[in-house]
Amino acid sequence: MKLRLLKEWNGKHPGNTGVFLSEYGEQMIKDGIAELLDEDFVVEDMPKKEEVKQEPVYIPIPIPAKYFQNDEEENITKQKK
Amino acid sequence: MATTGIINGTLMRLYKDSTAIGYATSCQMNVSAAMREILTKDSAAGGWREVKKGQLSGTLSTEALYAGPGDASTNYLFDDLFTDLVAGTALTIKFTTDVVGDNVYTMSAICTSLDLNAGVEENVSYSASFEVTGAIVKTTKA
Repeated sequence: MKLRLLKEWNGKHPGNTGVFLSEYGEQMIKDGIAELLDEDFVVEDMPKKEEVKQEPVYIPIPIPAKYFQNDEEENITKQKK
Repeated sequence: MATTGIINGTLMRLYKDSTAIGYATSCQMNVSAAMREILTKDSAAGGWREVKKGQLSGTLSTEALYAGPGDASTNYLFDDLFTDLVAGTALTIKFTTDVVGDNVYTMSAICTSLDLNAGVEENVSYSASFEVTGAIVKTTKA
């Protein structure tokens, strides 16, 4: 569980936060040493590296009109010849 | 209620007494049994090695991100471990998910090494190793 210190504890200042085992944390709350922030909290928020995604670059390539001609049609025409 | 199925490793972490070892990215516990050879001239094993269990031992290690004295955290950090290593203090360590019904491995361990790494444009991180002294006790969190 995640707690925030209300009083100085083990040399740590009031306002500091941290993760404690639940039994111990509950006792700290009862003793008025800390307040509960999140009962189910286990892992700190880690500093995450920002990922930079590059936008795709489209480059127009000139293509001859012949490229779009249907290949099957072309073959049939050739066979007929 | 105990965690069902395969446990997410993120949730299982090392605690010094009841305080989490902070900013950990991974934790390991190793338990091993040394073997003692019992092969003698009288053995019927035909020259094959025969062993029996010898000393049991355990080690712990963790990798974590580094935060200095300016960190507003109550967690157990590198500087705390540094003090313990220099003093040779035996720490009470628990390895658990802190979920009711899950296992809690409790042991006394001495910090034996700390490696602090600072790469350019990288997080400062460290790894810590511990040698278990005495038994590792497995209990269930009530």
